[in-house]
Amino acid sequence: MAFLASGCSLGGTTAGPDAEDPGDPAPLVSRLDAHRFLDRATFGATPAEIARVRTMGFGAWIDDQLSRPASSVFGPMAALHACHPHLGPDDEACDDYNPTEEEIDSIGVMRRQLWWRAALTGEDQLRQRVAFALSQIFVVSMLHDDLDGAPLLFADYHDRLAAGAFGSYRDLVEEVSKNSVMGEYLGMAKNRKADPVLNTRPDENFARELMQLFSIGLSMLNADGSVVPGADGAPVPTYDQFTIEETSRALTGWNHAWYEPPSASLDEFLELEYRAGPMVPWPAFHDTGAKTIVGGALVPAGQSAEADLDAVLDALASHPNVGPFIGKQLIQRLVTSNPSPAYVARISAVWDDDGAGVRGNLGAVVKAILLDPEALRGVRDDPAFGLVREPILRLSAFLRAFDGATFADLDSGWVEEELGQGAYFAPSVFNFFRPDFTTNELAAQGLVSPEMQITTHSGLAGAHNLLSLLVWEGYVAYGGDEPQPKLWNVDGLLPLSADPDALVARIEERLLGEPLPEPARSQLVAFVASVDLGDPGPEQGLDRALEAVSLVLHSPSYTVQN
Amino acid sequence: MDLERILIDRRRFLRAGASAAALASVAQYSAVSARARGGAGGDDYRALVCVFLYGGADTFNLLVPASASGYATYAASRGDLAEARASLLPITPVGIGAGEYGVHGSCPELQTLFETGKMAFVGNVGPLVEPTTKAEYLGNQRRIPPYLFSHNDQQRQWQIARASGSGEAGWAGRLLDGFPFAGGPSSIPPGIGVEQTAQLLNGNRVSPFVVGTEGPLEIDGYEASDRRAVRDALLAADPHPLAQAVTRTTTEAVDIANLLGTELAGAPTFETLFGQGPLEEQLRIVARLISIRSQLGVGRQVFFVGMGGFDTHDSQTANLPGLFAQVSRALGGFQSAMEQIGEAQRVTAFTHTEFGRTLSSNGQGSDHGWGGHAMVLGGAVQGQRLFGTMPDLSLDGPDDVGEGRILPTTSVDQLAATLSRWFGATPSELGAVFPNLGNFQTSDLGFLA
Repeated sequence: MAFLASGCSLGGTTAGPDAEDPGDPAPLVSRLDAHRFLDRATFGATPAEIARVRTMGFGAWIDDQLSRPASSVFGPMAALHACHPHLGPDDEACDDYNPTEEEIDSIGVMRRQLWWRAALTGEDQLRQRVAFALSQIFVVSMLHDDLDGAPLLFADYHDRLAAGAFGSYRDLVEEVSKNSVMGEYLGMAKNRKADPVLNTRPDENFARELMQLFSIGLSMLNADGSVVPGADGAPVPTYDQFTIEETSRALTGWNHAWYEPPSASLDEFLELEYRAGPMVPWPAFHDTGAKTIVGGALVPAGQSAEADLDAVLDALASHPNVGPFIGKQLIQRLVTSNPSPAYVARISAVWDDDGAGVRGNLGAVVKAILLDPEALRGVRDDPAFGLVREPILRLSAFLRAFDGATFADLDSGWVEEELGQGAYFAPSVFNFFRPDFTTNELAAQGLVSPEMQITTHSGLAGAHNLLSLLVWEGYVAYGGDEPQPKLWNVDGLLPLSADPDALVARIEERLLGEPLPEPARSQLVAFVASVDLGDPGPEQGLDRALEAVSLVLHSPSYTVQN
Repeated sequence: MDLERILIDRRRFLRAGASAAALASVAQYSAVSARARGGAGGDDYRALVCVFLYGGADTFNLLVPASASGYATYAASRGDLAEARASLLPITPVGIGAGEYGVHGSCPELQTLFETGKMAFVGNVGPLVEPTTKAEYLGNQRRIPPYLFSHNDQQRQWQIARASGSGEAGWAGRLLDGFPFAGGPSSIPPGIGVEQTAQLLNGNRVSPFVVGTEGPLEIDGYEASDRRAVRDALLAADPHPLAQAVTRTTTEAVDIANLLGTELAGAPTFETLFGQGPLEEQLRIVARLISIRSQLGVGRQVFFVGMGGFDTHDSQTANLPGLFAQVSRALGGFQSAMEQIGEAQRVTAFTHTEFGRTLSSNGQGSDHGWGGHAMVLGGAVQGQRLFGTMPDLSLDGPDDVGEGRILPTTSVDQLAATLSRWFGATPSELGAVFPNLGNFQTSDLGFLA
């Protein structure tokens, strides 16, 4: 793993230790800075992780995370459903196997549960958080007519994003391009050379979105993310329709990988069902003519499908736009909606060279994003720094703050529906929101807020009500025939309920890392004090705790991560 | 799982309880006179309803030439994407007559709406800066919209209706900026999106309100005034600009959801007119909101609904019938609802979609095009007609700029300006809202009386 000397030195020095913590052995990082850092690098700060960051320092914590193996979503599913046709087993034991409706449903439930388990409890928090960010750049979605019954493919895809999250961009974009779920989603699977008899030509979809969304974007960019003005002052397009047509020809001849060798039969080519994993070339359907691709690069005639794909991906991965285009989006997903041009430029520089001469080293890029001085200074320098937490992160940070791992045992489909967001359920390849979304008020301040696109009146109310429900009903284990899980743990708060100020302070420590702004904080404390403490017993103080948690959770101070 | 059932039951309980918040009476709003343009009450009401077909709907398979020669050209260009001639539902456009055109076989409601004079097509509409011929396009002799054939760029160009311009304001938002009392004394935002916000409704002054398909979603749990006071204090306390954006949305959600929710409780449900499809559910709540416009005292409204799935690069022949059928059922239900409540003359619905699609086939579907046909629907529409210019559908013909991408002959600006004039914009306002309108021969396509 390439290593960033500058980033590492920043890790321990920007923020001083907390004065109020005499017990700790000279922590390297303040409690607040550790909390803010973990909001960006994980699915939510926990007391244990805060303590680790404070003793290790940012840089060492990141290095430790970079070296951790990925949690697997796909592994347990594949083991349980080895004969499922989406895994395409070449095994006689599976010959008569046909999944029932119930089994198909249960696979979808399990995919969600394992995703949430990795998000809430994975030891590889940074990897999972970056994989979530990558899933919003290399978007595939189960909201697709042909893919809504294919959770195994999405689990496999997720694991590949997580595995590649700290590797090379060039490798990851190849993994994504060849993946069968992407092949099905954007049509590279079964894309074939022009057929003069049937009067067809290649499908342009993947070629277009690969360039527009997964690599270089529409306009030539400076390293700081600003648009390069052309001679007439207008942006300079990175490619034109002709480039798309040529690139779509280069991307012909791929199909889902089955154990039969690729044939030259069009019927067989078109009939093949998808299966999890990388696609394979079907040479008979690849266009072997010469092509002119992005930047005027020439793909010579006579090359294989693999060589043509390599040529396209090499041209895109070496394009100067990739650093600012993908790098800025990663900053926006993890740290802040409105990074300064200088911040973007520093990340682009790391993208271009990780310090060891390696280009597109995602681990180094992630580390640089988290350790950038602008990130570590945050709202101290920029009062608009930060982002509106997307609904999944609003929920996950609450659950992680209060031992909420058992949430992952739920069949969470309805939760995600109420929440207004579920991983791998974006409405289109343009994700849940666009990177430049803004509102009139924010635009007047020169700000964007991608997440505000789904933080609409109804979106906000839906997520709010869902969180309320989990707070007010999820603290207790309900009975029934089997033991039921608590969705979060209120127990640690109950002893503090007699002292409303201490209760509020503990909740602030867990959810915010800092006190709520005044005078609202004093009003909250007074309100909590006005709530009946209840009779002595194991639930004494419960109402106070629930009131306080739910009000803090719904405060804009929590909704915004800074 | 038991817990899940308990949570769901509890959720229903919370929902039901929340609507108990009683609100200002109907009388308070309806008593206010129409003191300004787009003010409250009576016949001075107009609503526009944008139906956005996300992904780029293949409208060249929605309205299809049916004559022997017209169909032959169409079928040759479309190859395996061509609809069977016998499957088309015949229509008889005024001035053209029978046998020339049909609509997609999955759209009996659209056929009926057209034949009964309630719906018209506007042929070959798309983003343009100025009128452009194929030779001018290929020779770079005209200004053309940037990033043609890209989803989000052409979505934006349809919604802002000034293809060469920058900025965030949509054409309906800019239009509504000129109707300061459109929302009535209750200040309900005059632009309402269903399940989504939309650039179309964003003005320089106005911003949309977003409702769910069952109406505005209320924020639960603040019936108790002391808890509400703390919530409000927390909303007000954080000066962070993003926190303020969240606060603003929350405050509007509380105020307006309460108001709309109370009035909606007595509104017709139109249950027999709409099914469960996504557009049907969205247009049903639009119809319900229009039904309470007198109680709310609103004078001018623009609604936005949208449905995805039209990006039919793959499986087009399998998927397009279902998509079109949903559009047809939803528009049919909506027109019936408007007739049922006597608002058909005051409500005009129309489709937008970022682009038509390539006439040529990629073997499984079609790719991103440019121009496409739009629909306009309502009692004020000069129905049973084809407006604009129907394109030549031959590959490499005079309207094809490559692979059957059809060069638009009518601009989005002209379509939107025609709707805006009917809505009440003055000629000078039209010029201000649509800065490129003067580039085109006519600012009124004539489909609204």
